Amino acid sequence: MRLITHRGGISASLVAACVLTPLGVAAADAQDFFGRAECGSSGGPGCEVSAYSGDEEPGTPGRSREEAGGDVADSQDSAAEDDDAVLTGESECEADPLCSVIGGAAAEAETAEVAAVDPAAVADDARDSLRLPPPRLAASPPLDQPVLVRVPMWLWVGEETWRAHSARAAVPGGAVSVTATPVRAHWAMGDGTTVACAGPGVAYNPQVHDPAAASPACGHTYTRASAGQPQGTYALGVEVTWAVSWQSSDGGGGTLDPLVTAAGAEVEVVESQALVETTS
Amino acid sequence: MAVVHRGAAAICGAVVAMVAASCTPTGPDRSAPSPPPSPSFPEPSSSAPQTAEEAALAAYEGMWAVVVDASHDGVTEPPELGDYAQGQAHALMVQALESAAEEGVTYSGDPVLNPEVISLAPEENPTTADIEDCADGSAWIPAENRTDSQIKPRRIEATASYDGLVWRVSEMRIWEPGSCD
Repeated sequence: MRLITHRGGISASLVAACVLTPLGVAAADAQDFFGRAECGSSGGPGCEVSAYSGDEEPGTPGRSREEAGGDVADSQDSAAEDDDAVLTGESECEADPLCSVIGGAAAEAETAEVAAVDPAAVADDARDSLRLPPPRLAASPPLDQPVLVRVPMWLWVGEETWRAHSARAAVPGGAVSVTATPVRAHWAMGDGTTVACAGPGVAYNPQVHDPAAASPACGHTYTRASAGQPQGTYALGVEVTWAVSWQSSDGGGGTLDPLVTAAGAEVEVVESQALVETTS
Repeated sequence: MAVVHRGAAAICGAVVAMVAASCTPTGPDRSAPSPPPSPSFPEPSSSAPQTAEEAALAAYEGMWAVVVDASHDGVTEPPELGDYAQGQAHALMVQALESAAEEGVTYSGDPVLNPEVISLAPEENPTTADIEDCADGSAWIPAENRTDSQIKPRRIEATASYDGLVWRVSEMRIWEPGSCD
């Protein structure tokens, strides 16, 4: 059994020789597990799975594209069971799901023809991880009291639930950010009417707004009482549509499918005359 | 502050006797009805009140804990790894585990980690954390033929990223033994 002990003064060439030693004997004897993922000053198997672009870690010694790329062939040599590994690497890639990453590092070193990871796919995943707040629906007259027919109702989405959200995901060599921006609110009033609003709506302010006026942005006027509805109320719902876009640190970008959040409430609409009769 | 609602006042005037109990224009302004029937959008998970630094280190240490267990059991791609690592770091760990499994080498023992967060960016609501570690793997060696190992600690550089939901290690480089200094 060979026990190779690394001392501080060991020469670089000896380290390299150690890394390049055919597998089995030396690797099993003298390596800690970290050695299997090592990408040190003299390379190592870990350099295969690397996308050190150099510019993302400024000032880090030895962490350059040339070095990481240059080590790819060496470490493939050492890790491969047979000597054809370097030549067959590309065809093996098709069967190995990891190869999209590993192969990417090699490609970067040569022609940079294939992106290691599809940033659009990463962006799509990041989109799925966005947690958007449900809209806070607000109205005047307020929804917790009976609303009178023919009184213009102002509708708006609470501003704390109407602002852009973004998420960022790292990819080898950079990052992808995804931003969701609320763009539209669709109100289903429960009486068969839907109201499309291009923004959050305007919050009613009694100091500023005329109580008899309809909302300048987003509103509805009920014309029938809700008494005939299943619960005696209209089911009010709002759906907010979010435009989703992504950008990668290398300048790429695009749009993704929109996201939708929703909330609902019950609203009781009454006619004063009917109310008098039914409660007497 | 008394908030006068349009319409509410009109109802009051029209049907004072009938709805006096429910007609309280000076009551709390509950213009947002509760609770919205939309269970699919939980609040951003902040169940553990961690700082970004703590969360990034937790991801780093969690990742290694998963890898250590997998190295003991000969597992090549533990599903929990995805909870702590992504991208290049994830691929790197899977590759290392696969290479051990291909050779039929299982490991025993544990590494000793000393990770530190050396920078966070951006300053407010950070989404990336650079981590530096001087990790001692001398006791984390193949289970068979364990000898007194003299492997010196090595430098590990990692980046953890916050995707809006969780922190995960996204990039990592492991240097050779003796690279800490």
